[in-house]
Amino acid sequence: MSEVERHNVLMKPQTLDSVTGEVLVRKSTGKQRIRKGQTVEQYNEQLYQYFQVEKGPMQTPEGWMSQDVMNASEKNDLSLKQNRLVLLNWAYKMYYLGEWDKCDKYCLHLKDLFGPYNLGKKKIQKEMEELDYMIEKCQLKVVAKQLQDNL
Amino acid sequence: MNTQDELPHSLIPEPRRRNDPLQLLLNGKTTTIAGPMVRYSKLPFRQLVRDYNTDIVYSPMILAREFVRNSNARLFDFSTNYKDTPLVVQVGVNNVTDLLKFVEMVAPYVDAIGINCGCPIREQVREGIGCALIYNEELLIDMVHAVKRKYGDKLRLETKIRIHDDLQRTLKLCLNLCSVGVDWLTIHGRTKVTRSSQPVKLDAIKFLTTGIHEKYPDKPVVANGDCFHLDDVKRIQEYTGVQGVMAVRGILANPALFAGYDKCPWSCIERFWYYAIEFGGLPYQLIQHHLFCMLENMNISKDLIKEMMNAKSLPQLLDWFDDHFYLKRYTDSNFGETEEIPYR
Repeated sequence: MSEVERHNVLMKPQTLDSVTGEVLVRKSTGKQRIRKGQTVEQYNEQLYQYFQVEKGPMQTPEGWMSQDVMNASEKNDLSLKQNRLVLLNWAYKMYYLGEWDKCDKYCLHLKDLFGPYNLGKKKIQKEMEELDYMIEKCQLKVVAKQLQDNL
Repeated sequence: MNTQDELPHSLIPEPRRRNDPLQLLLNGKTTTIAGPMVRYSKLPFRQLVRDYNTDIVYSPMILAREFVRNSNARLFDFSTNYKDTPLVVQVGVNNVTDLLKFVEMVAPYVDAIGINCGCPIREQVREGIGCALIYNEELLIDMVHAVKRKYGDKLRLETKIRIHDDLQRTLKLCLNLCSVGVDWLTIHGRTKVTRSSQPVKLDAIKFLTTGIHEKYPDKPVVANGDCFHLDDVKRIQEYTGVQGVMAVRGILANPALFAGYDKCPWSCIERFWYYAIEFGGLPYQLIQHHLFCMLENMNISKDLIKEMMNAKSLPQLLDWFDDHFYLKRYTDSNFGETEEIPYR
């Protein structure tokens, strides 16, 4: 087989089941791999989850973050990174806006919330360190502001 | 979920078209387009380029297979809002079934869907996705045909292709795509193996555009490749006769390219910070990389940029900016308007 033919064979997947979308692909080694299909039932579950539960893709217009949204988000499964990230975003926003006192308190609150999930997982450890960083900086900035106000 | 809980078809929203990209491409002016960039064309960046005269904006390529099967993938891959229009969501796909499912789920929230037939990344090509599709013409035509047969004019469908070594083969593919109803074509004037350091082949785009317009005079064509300044838009359009010009690497480095800025203005940095914080959802490394590209384009010293890359988290990065520059917040007067770098 010429190099060009080999190249083209590798790039052409073969549909094994047009209902489920099961596809056969070839790796560079020539090995065949089957990409599993999705049954009608599995797809219907996804449709239900997506349109009825998730209400489509995540919508984040300007001003979407609020204390109410965060209170509701705290009830989500915080073992999932994307759910913790929503709460962290609120802390970032306060930090960005220089709301040091509020940010400090909120970061302390998040440490309590995330604590039970911090079981040596590197990713959560990183988030905890980030919260510690913001707490330290916020407290320094609150003190600096108080000193400035007293002058 | 039981089968009796299946979602009735009537509850699946119809495709949305708030702003029709096809009408923009047909309005007689050269349409400016921010192309799809793996990982980078997410909501904050899309909003940023819209602030600077970009007419149509693409999402990064989303893998149909993952999107239709996995809610976590959906959450990570696609977020939007009511200002995110006109939006073309680009899909990476290697079979008709996954494409039809993807279209059904995404079409209610976007203005068009584009099939990625240009991505040369080896892992995708091996799966028959991206640039592999220009060598699998039959499948690509089947996919376009299946979507247009189901949705007709309710949905806009685009294909973004690279060229073959044999341009007659590319022309034949383009004409076949037109015959099954593709709404417009984007042509990247490089082959699968041409490096981005090699100049884009504008002659090839011109040849293909002429060939397409001979048979389909109203079918818009968009040129992609080597658009780094506003002057390039005019030059590329005049030379090739296309209806739109797409920037990718150029607009990553200078999101204000289409507004006529030769270098990234500081206002882009302020606005990007605001959108990244306000919309959320962008991983830290992506935020850092966007800022890296913009600062590099502004000719900020390499030592300073190196220092910025040492920041390990979003708050650290923000502190670094505040230590070195006057970074305005959106609540400040003249936020997002400064062109010059406001060093401290």
